[in-house]
Amino acid sequence: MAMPQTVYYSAPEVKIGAAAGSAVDLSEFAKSAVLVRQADALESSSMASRDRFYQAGMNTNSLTVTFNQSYEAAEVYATIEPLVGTSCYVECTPVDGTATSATNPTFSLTNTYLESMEVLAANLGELGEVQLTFTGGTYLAATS
Amino acid sequence: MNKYRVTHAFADKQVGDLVGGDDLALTDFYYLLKAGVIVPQDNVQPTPKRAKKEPTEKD
Repeated sequence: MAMPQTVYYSAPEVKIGAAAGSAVDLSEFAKSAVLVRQADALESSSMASRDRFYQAGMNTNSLTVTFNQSYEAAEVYATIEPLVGTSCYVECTPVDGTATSATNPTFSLTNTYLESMEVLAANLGELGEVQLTFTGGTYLAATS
Repeated sequence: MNKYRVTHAFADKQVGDLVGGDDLALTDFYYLLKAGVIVPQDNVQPTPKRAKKEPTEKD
């Protein structure tokens, strides 16, 4: 079986901030990032067919990201904590340090909502992590 | 115009860049300042000078 010509090695750039102009680069702390673009499925089936059909409803986009926790200035806690309970901006690019292009699009959610943050999550013998979920917002995939 | 030094990369700014306070939207500016992403350029605390000893009657 032929191998794929290119595979994606996970090394994304992750930026989060109050708005695009203040999106702080937290890539060095990111352990995982999953950005989902979702359009709610509204059923439009009728008795004219035995098949079910759907059309797009509201968009429910989200970003779930896990960071190694850091309480230093300008790092994870300091940049995320002020955003709890606000509509903010997140941005992810597949390859960190590489210009945005058609093969390295910048995915963003504008006015996405951060509901909560575990300000402390400590386990014996483990590095601290924090998982965040940003919900909603306007999705954009920029290629330039 | 007050200048601020970037201590952590944000938007298209890199560590060490200088940004003018007026170049940022107000909400961005307050957010970045609170998070410590930008610090005032003249945020260096000068070493306090030793107070000059005033002669007393004992002297």
